[in-house]
This record gives sequence, structure tokens and C-alpha cells, in this order.
Amino acid sequence: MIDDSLVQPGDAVHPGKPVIVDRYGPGARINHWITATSLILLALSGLALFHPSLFFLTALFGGGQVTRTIHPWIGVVLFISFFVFFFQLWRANLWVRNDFVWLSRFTDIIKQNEDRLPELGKYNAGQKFIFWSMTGLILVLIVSGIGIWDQYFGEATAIETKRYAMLVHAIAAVLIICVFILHVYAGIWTRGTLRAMTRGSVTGGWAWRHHRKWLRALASQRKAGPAE
Amino acid sequence: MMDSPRTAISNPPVQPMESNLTERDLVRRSATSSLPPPERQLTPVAKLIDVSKCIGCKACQSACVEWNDTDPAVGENVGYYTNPNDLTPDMFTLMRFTEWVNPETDNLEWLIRKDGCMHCADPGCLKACPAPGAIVQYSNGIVDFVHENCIGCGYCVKGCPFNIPRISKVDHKAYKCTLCSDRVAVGQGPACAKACPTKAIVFGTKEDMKKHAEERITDLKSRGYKNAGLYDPPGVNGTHVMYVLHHNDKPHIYADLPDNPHISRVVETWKGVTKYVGLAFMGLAAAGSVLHGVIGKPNRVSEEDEEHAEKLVERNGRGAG
Amino acid sequence: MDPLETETSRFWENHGEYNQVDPKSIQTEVFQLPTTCFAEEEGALVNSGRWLQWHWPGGSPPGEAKHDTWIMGQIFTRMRELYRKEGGAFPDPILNLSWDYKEPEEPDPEELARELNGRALTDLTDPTDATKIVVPAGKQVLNFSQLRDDGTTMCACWVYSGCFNEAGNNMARRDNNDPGDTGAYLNWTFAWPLNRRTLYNRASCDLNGKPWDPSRKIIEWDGAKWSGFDVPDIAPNAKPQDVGPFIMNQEGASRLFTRGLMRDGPFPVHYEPFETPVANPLNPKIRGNPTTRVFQSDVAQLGTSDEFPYAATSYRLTEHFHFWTKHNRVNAALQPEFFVEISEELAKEKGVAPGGWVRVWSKRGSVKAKAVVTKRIRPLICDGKPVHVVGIPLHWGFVGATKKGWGPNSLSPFLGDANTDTPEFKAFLVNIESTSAPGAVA
Repeated sequence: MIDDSLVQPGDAVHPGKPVIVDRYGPGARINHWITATSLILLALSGLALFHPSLFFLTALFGGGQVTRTIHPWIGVVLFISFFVFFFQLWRANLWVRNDFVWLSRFTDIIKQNEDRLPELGKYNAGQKFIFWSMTGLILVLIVSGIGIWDQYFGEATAIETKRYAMLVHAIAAVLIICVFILHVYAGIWTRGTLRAMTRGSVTGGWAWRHHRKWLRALASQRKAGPAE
Repeated sequence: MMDSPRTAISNPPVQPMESNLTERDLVRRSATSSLPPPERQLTPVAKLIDVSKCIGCKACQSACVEWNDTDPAVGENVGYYTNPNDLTPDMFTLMRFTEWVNPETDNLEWLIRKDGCMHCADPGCLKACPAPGAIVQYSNGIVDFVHENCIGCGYCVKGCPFNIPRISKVDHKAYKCTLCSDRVAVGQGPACAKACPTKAIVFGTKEDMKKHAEERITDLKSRGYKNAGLYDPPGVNGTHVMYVLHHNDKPHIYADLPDNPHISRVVETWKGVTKYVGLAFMGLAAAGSVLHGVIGKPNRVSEEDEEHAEKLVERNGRGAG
Repeated sequence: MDPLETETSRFWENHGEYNQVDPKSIQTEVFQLPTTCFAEEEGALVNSGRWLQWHWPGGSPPGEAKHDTWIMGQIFTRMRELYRKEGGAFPDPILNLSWDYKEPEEPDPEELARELNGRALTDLTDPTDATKIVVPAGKQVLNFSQLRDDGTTMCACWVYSGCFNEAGNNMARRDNNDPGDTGAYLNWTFAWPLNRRTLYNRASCDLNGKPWDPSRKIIEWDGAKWSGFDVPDIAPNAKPQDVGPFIMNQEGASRLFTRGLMRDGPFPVHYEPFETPVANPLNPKIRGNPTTRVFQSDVAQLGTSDEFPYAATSYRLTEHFHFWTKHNRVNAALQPEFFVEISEELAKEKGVAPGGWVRVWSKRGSVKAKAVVTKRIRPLICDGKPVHVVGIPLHWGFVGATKKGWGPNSLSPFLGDANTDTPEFKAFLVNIESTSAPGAVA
């Protein structure tokens, strides 16, 4: 199995009260927020075209024609942005034995019995689930999306293919919105997480509580690191 | 206000007339959940195209271009009499030529079919359209595109069982035969029917057109076309553009006219179950999260956790902490 | 003078492969004077039913276009003035041409119509009673029966006489009543000659002057004269037993053979076209019709089936009218490009795909076209051998809204029917091969 004590370039621990642990550099954060913003815009513009009761959302974009024009372009931005992010994070998200354990004890997580859980690396199974489902769904969305991007690719596929592409795109979009909701909620419910993506760092306590193995690895590395 | 016209061969009104096709005559409106029923039921109209009488002169194509004032491009001949070689946003109707050798008689039959919107009673384009009011259906059967509401998404193309709507690359809106709704609205018939020199295209009430078709079919059968019949496909609940075909047992020989057209099951699913279930899923996810957030306890980092972390860091990661 | 661009007026202009000329070496100067189209003119539209239906303009001439009559009036009056001032070799026909129009520089269509009808130049008196004036001087004649050969009447076209007499413009009548339901519509417009709708209509009655089909009576003999729903094409009191319907023949009956007026009579004979893939089975030594007039230089341009094995014919399409509608963007969209039609068998032999480019050439010229491969043309078996047919529709050229193209006229021979000189455009010999697209035109 893969050693999940991997730390990513840029991860570092700084003693103090409280201990500060660097989790995401500025590039990663910008990348994440571009991805997040584009996903939100895609969800809004997509929902406007998905259900008549939500068509009013086209007003946010300047009308129906603009919404329809701009949605696939934002999709391209999402795809590129997400995959830049993907190539930075994929190693740390590879599945390990501990992840099965974590999943089997999901109720303990909800009840906050974290002591019953194994020590975790940088990402827990839940986060890995988010990562891989986003990856898969974004791939499905970009492929099905290009299939129905009639303005430039209309001639490339038959109508029957487009019908399936529409259905697949709609289902994948619904799923990715659900995954998005789960991801946002988890980030909020687990207090102290948001600052990882805004300030780039978390507290030592947060790391101790949620990703102890990662913290240990960073702390032992510190000896070899530059003096403070 | 008057009812639907009964014939294509009427002269233009000499006084300005009020249109008899208004918002109050709609039976269906795209992406609209609660449409009030129409104020009155107009007599359903139909355009009947008798393929056996068509000579492929394309007067109907010219009349349609002239009436709708479109600007079809001068393309090139890719080896056929069919020109342009497909429907376009500027050519709402098209004579499609097929050279078919009848296996029973070994005769060559030059089949010429006027392609265009069938004005289905259960329109796939309207079902698929996400833009409220971009596609409407009047109580006389005409299915019309309302361009000011069209967003150019092309869902109508996927919804249509006959591959008819075309999206303009100029204004990004969908175009198709309107059954001359603007002419019908003032008591006239469609331009194509008026121009047709052989009266292969006739127009009137659907009932009259079916009667006329019966006469034509009897005539064709008496001349040896034993499978002559009326193409009014039940899979879309019937259409307001119908064909008299010499060989109604195999519509596909007429340039791939679908034998049993119906709205694709994929489209029905996409516009049916997926919408409800999808909204439900997302709604549940959102509601569930909110509920959990309000009722449940947040997962906070404790003071103890911070102390553990500080100790660990001091010992450079060694020890149990 | 043309309302539309033509290849003839642009013959001097280089259009690449479509018209390979060097303008610098051409010494003819072309002046293009744009005229009106029918819908911008007032005048008579003549149809094959011999009706002269008068119509009025539906629009004004666009741009610099002018009515033909204005252009002619301008040219004539200026030339006449020049001849008056400068004289010339023989100015009489120009100076003495009667040109009595209200506005000499733009004769009015109605004035011209009145001239077509004809009028009396002096008082016309009754031949039997000199005191009785039948037509006063300056008045229109009733019809050609009042025209004389002594210079006292004028008429621009005797068969049209009656079209615009003192009753008015008979061509402009629009009474659509049809008593008897014969389709004659005697009071709708004027038909030449004499408003007669069916020529030789006495043939509709038997030897006793009774209609063969009483339900479709046109005229009838009532014992004293002929009358009915049409103008009788026979002297009104010619007895039916004495006078036959075909009044242009002395015996009043039609003939199964010619007595004269035909170069290759008296009986019809089979002749092959001048260019033919098979010899004349009745007269193998004869080429074409021996009484046809052909210039020797054109005989030199006749090919044989050794070099040109395929039979070509030319025809028209419903989407276009001659060379007029290639200028109309709607018609152009319906049939945009020059094509030839060949059978599936010939296409296979030559390796031609539908929509592929082919070169078709004869002893006289060469064209390139798109190929339409069709089941509607099948190889003919002539004298035991297959003869392939190449169908060549006309309608395209190097000017117009359509794609540039050629026409069958580049290939057809310069000879015609022995009697009428109708050109032999429907049967000649060509060869065909697959080729690449014509080069781009600068």
C-alpha cells in the first residue's frame, strides 16, 4: 500500500501558540477558488436551463442567450482549473487501507468519536471521495458538454448521441451539485477548516484532531528544516 | 374574431385584420408549468402534402423564402437535385429527392418529398425547450417558435423526432417552418400551398384534409399502389402536416422519413424523471445539510487538541504526544 | 441593352478558366445600358395562347435602369439630329422615319400599341359609296380587315390589328366571364388575330356545321352564318358543305404530305443527327440531313464516335428559367451549380463519384461540371452496342448569383434543322472524364 505519510511540497509546521501548519500555498488557494467560483457559476447557469422554475437565474448572467453562450466557456475554465489542481493533489488522495477503516466507522465521525478512528494523513476518505467524484464527474461533464456544445461542435455528433449526452450531463450535474453541497457543508461543520483555503494554514490542534499522521510527519521533518 | 381558415387559396385581406392567433389561444408553452387553458378551441388545421402529385419544382421552397424573407446561401451542388442539401435556418422546407427501385415492379420511382416541420400534436421540440415561451402550440395545431424568447441552446433539435429545427449561426436562434402562422392568423393558407402548381400541397381543416387524403388514396390504390396511405403518425399523437404516400408501408424510403416517429425515450427521461428526481436530490442534500448544521453539534478543535499539537512539535514529532 | 448581366456583354472580360481572354487584345468596346425588367414596365405580355395581356408596372426601375423606349428614343432623336446637321451617305430612312410621339425622346407604350393596331392616314371611304366615310383620317382601324395596300392606312403588325382600336385598349380588358364554359373568355384581353381563341375552329363541327361534341360547342352554323363562343376562323357565311376548316390550304383539308415549303419533303424520312454514335440504319452513307445548310468550317468541327463515344443532350430544369434566373438569389440557392447527369454504369466506368468534378468535351469545346450520378439515365443499346448518355442542363454561366459554370452551348454543333434551323442542341457527341475543380478565378 502507498505510504500516506506523504507531505506535499509547501506543507510545513511552525511552533507557537497555537502551532500553525501550512496546508495550501497561495497558488493552490487561487486555483481552488477559481475552480469553486466556476463550479458555482456553472451550477447556477446550468440549473437555469435544467428546470423552468429556475430559468430566472439567467438574469444573473444577462439573459438566456448569454447564459447559454457562457456556460460551456466557464466549463472549460473549470476543467482546466480543476485539472491543474488535480495534478497537485492526486498523490495525496490515493486510496489506502486506513480509508476503508474510516468509511466503516462513518457513524463515529458524525458522532464525533474521533478516537475510534485511525490516525489519518493529509486527507481522509471523505475528502478523497469528494476529490475522486469531482474528478470523475468533471470528466463526464466536459465530455458530454462538448457533445452538446452545438455552436462549435454541433457537426461532430449525431442527434441520438446528443440526446444521451444531454441526459448524462444533467445527471452528472445533479450529482456534482450534491457532492459540492456535501463538500461545502463538511468544510463548515468541521470548524477550523475554512482558513486552510483562505489563509493557507490550520492550527496544530486542528491537525492533531483530524490529520494526526500528517502532523507527525511534518513535525519530524522539521528537525531537518530551517531554524526559526 | 374568426376561426381557422379553410383554404390556402384566399386573397390577402384588404383591411388590416386582428390576428386570430394570440397568447390566449395557446394550449402549450415551453418551460411553463401553469398555462391557463385557451379561451376557445380553434378548428385544427392541417397541411396535406400528396407526394404522388409533387413534381419537385421547388416553388414551395421559393415561396417560403419569399414570404419569410430569409436569405439562403448559394451553396454548391454535391451531386443531387436536393438543394440546398439540408434544411437551414434560411430554408424551412426542402424537396428531398430519392431514386428508388421498387423491388416488386423493378420500376424506378423518383420519390420527391417536401421535408419540413410536421407540427406534431405532441411536439418534442416544445417538451425539450428550457426557455419559457420560446416554443408555443396553438389550439389549431400550429407549433411556432417565438424568437424573442429563444436562447439558442438547440434542445429543440434533440427533442424533434424528425430532425427539423436549425440554429442560426448569425443570431443564435432556432428556425423552422411556421405553417405560416402569420398568414393563418389573418385567414389565409401557407405560402407553399398557394404556390404549388399541381396542388400537391393543400391546406384546410384537418378533417377536410383527411377526407381529401382518402380520395387521393382511393385513386392511388386504383392505379396499383396498394399500400398508399396517409402519414399521420400516432407516435406523436398525429401531426398537422400530413403526407399521402404511395408506399405508406415504408415511409423510410422517402429520404429517411421515420417509420414510427415518437419523442425519444432519452428525451422523455431527461425532461421527465430526471427533472423531478434531480431537484429532489439536490433539495434533500441542501436541506439535509442545513438541518444537520442547525441540529447537530459542530466539530470543534479543543484546547486539549492544541496542547497536544504544541507538545508534539516541541519534541519534533517524536513520542506519543 | 439588358436588365441583367450577360456573358455576351462580358465576353471581353477574363474569368479565368470560365472565360479565358486577354481584354487588351480585344478591340470591341461594350456599352451596357441597363433596362427594366417586365415588372417595371407597361406593355403586353404575349403567351402561347396568342393572348396580348396588357399589364402595368409593379415597381420603379432600380438604380440607373431606364425603359427600353426611353433609351431607344434618346438614341434615335440624337442620331436624327446628327444626320440633320452633318448629313451622311443616305440619311433618308433616318430623317423620314415617322416618329410622331408626344414625347419623341420617350414614346409611350400605349402610343406604340396604337401603332401596332394601325390607323387611317386619310379618310377611308366605302368602296361602294364614296360619300360614306368608313374610318376618318387619324382614327384607329377596327382590325386588319380595314387595312389597305394603297398607302392610305398604316399598321405596325397586321396580325395584332384590333388590339387597340377606337373601342380602346382591348388588351387591357379583364372580363372573366366565360359563357358556355369553353375557356374562351372572349372579353379577357385580346388574342391575335381578330381575338380568335382557337384557330381553325370550324373543325369543331361536322360537314353540316353541327358541333361534333354539343357539350363543348365553340361555334356552330345556324343555316345562314357561323357564330358561337369564339370568333369563327372562316368567312361568316361560308357554307359548311363547301368550305373546309383549314383555310390556308386551297382544298380546306389538312395534308399527310407536303406539296412545298419543306426542304426535305414530301414525306418524312429518318435522319440521324449530324453527330451520332450509330450509322443511319436506313441510309448508312448519309450523315445528318442532306438538305441542311451547314458552313464547311462547321462541318470541319463535327466529331465522330471514335473520339467522342457518348451521346449528349441538353435540357432545362424547373428551378431556373433560361439564363435569367441565375441572377436571382432564390433560384440560385435552389440550383446553385452547373452539373451533368450520367448513369451509374458510366460513373463506375469512369470512376466518378456523386458530386465529383468531371470534364466534358466535344470537337468544339470543353467544360467542367459537377457530376450527378443517377438511375434515371440508363445506357441505351443501339445497334447491339451500349451507348451512354450525358445529360447537360443549361442555366449557368460566368456571371450571375449562381456558382460560375458553363453550358451545353460550349459543346453543341453549329447547325440546325433543315427547314427551321432550330439548332441541333439535343443530340451530339461528347467525351467525359474525372477531373479536378476549376482553378480559382482572380
